[in-house]
Amino acid sequence: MRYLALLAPPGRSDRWLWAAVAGLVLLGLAMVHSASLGPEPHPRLSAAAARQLVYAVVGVVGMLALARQDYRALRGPAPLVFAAGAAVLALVLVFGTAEFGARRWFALGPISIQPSEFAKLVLTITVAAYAAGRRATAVPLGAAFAMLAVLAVLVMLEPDLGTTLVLVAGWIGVLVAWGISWRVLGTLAGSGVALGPLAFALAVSDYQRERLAVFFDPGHDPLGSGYNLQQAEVALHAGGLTGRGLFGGAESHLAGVAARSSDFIFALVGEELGLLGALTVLALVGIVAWRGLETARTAPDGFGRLLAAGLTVTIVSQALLNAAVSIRLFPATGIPMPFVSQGGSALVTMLLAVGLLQSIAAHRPASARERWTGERWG
Amino acid sequence: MSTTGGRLRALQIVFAAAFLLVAAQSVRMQVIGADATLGGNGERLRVLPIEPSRGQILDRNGVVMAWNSPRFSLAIVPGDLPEQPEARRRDLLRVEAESGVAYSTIDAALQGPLARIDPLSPVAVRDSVEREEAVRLRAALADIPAVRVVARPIREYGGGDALPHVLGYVGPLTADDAEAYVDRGYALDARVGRAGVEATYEEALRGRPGSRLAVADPSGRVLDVRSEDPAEAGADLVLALDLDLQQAAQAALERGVRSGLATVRAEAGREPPIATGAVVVMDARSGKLRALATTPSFDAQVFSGVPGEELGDLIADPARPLVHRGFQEVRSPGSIFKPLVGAAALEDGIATAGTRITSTGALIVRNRYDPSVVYRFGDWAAHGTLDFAGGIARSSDVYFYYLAGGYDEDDGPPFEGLGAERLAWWAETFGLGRPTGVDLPGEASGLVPTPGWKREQTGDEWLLGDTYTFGIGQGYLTTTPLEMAVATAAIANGGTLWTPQVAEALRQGEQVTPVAPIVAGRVPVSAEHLATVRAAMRAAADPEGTAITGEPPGITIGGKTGTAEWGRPYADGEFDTHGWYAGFAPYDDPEIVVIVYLQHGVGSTHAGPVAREVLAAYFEQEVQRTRSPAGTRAPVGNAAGAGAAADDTAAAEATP
Repeated sequence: MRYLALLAPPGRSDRWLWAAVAGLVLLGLAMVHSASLGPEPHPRLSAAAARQLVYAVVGVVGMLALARQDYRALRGPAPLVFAAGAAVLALVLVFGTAEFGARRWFALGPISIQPSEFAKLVLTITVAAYAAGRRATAVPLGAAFAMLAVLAVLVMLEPDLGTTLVLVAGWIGVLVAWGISWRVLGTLAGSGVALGPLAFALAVSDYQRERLAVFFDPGHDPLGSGYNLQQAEVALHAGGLTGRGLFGGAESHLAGVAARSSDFIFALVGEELGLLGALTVLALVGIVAWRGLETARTAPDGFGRLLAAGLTVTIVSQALLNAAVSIRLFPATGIPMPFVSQGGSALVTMLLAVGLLQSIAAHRPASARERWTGERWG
Repeated sequence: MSTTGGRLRALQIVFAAAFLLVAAQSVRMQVIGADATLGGNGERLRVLPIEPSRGQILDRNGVVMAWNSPRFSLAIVPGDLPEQPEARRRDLLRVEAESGVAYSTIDAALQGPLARIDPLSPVAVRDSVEREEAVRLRAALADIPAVRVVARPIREYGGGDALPHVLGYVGPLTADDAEAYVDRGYALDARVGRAGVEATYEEALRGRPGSRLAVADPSGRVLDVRSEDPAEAGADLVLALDLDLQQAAQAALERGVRSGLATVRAEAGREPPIATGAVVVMDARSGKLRALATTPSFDAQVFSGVPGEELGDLIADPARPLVHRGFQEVRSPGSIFKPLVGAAALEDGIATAGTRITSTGALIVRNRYDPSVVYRFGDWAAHGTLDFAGGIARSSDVYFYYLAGGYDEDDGPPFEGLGAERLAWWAETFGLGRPTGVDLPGEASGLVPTPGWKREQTGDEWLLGDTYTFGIGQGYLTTTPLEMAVATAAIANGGTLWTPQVAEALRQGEQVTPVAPIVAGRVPVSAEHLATVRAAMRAAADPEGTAITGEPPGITIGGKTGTAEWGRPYADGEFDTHGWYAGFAPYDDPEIVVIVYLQHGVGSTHAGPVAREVLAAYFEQEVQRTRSPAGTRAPVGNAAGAGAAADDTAAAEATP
């Protein structure tokens, strides 16, 4: 029992953030259970949901433990973290198991680990540690870009376009908080647009092209890739305002969509819990965005500010991209909804990110109001 | 600090805008409806199968034998019926009143095993509904969501009683095979080939099913088709059979059966309850079957649409008209087996063309242990002394007793015969005792007896007499007429055993893919010995021979008659006899083999004239075929026309 005290949230952690993340994780467990249901009779807890529950417990323990640590301890070993992360990403290309045509996983007995998920943390920590205390001039910017390039290329080789996009988003988040000039940001965006077609020609695989073609015209291949998008559309429409009810199982219009518990989970929420459910998810993610950026704003030092901004942008951009795929605002790239989608590595990574955010929150200087409640209740 | 604070503010603004965009699009897609065609009320996209249209079946000259006619089907989706028993009963009674299908019939169909596999799959309660009736039913039952009136073409068959066994029919899936067919992409209410070439060539005839993505309401009515992967129609099957020749063979066969029966009545005063028969006409150069007649037959129209009462009558008929006597029933071949024994004896050195044996009308064998006990093996006449050609031409039984079993002459050295084991080996080498592998389902296979087989079956020892009766094609030996056609063709064509085929080619639009002939094996008899046997069969068809009755005017043929005793002897010691005829023509360059089998008859008297009519019809048509300008008839994929040499190449490639 004594050790459990180590998991107690630190005094000045962010309660809104705790609540939002708890809500998303619980909703995720329900959705994963629902997505894995076949025809009646339904088990009380499907195998997929049970596994997801185990990952959630692991992630929550990690999150709470991390929240009690001092995030500043990460700053020193950041280069080591980067080297280890890059090495693991390289190893998975050689020794990883291939599924769905991509080499992304390490199989360890019954569980498989997806290193590219953890790369999101590695990149944010490293770039934040490097940038903190430096001015955003040409040379440090180039170094930061090199860090992104190493990890992004390794992930791209798997291939995993969705994770690459999230890496880029988190990196931009750190850069924005760093205070680089709008001119540099504009140049980056401009070169991104300019290099887009080249990257498309060189690095985008056939199935990505197919997905892009399908995004612009779902009727393009209605029985193949377009099927997912069409079914997502039908499912959302069937959900209406209040939804068709949880645990529809095989009745779901998404029953034939393999990625319904990950890439298309937002559509499943929309179908089963309706627009209200979908907006609830967006609202909870919105709370994460609000509290995350607030943590960045009030962080005790530069490292904390950059790290909090990077982590928040990583989580929130990923959530927005996931939702955008289901509602046909973005082509399907295989991005999970943070905390909600099925997948252990993604869930644990996101919970650890929240643990870091909470650590930063716990070390910020007390505001006047907090001092007052602290004196009163503490 | 103020700069970075501003930056974070910018991030907040970007996020807020993105959230607003996502939320707005969610509202649009979930509530306003992104797609006007996809209304509420449970409308959903469904992938619906498209059944391909089944290929036609044509005869060799392009006469359509099996085709599809537009009809409708009244079907009920069990899963869409009300669950409450009263409401369900009310709906079904309405269906009964409007359609005339008895309530009990509907109910039984809905409780059937297929309905249990997938309750959301329609179960047909009445097929073959005409258009006007379909329109009326659809209107009258429109308010019952479980009722579907859908287009479902029916299969119809032509050719009268000429080809029903070969064509076969299509029928619904059964509880036993439904799952296997569904796994292969069939709909639960599909129709599949159940007999004849409809079954053998099911895959080619069926085609490739397609699918369409459609918006459907909860009752499955298609509101809008989003996209379609069209079905690929099945290939047309062109038969090797020639309808004209088939009909000529059928008519000749029925005359032969009647004449055989008349003789039995007039001379023996007996009245057999059933008289059956068969004719097989096979191309000796390719194994392609040109005619495959059986009697009694029935009208193929029985199999059209929904087989009804007539089919029940056919099943109950004691004459078993559904059984094709050409390949689905085995009988003693009698003396048409002798050319095989002759070829074996020549090849094994038992006999030569000059071997002379005397028939005094019977062969007397003394008991090995008690010479006072004698057995008499009769011949049908006292032929005197005959050489090999004479033995076959006169069909001397004694001659073949010698070749098969040998004989211990009273004066002189014993004559050594083939013996039972060797005889059985040769019979099997000629393809007897196993199915020929014809491309029709339900083939029967004859029996080649051996001493071991007899011991196993009866516990008795094999006797010399068993070898003698084996040698003249009687006793335990049984074959189908088709097996005898394959064996006779091997003698005619120089030793090639063909796998007989009724299919000539598959036709997909303009593209014609011939069904390659298949060589089943070769008979290890030298060309010289086969020529000796053919010459003997030629002699049989000379005026002094028994097989002269099978020779049409203007053509020289090789032939052999057979009259096999069968059943139990009557009080006067006489047996019923099968009448057989085996022939090939023309003698110099054999194209065709004909086998005639009559259940009641004498080979020379009754079967011979049938063979003559069939051969005459064949050659008359061949003359027409070569004379007629191209295009008036459409011989399709005529592999045989390319000549024997070309056939051999094609066949060699097709042999596994």
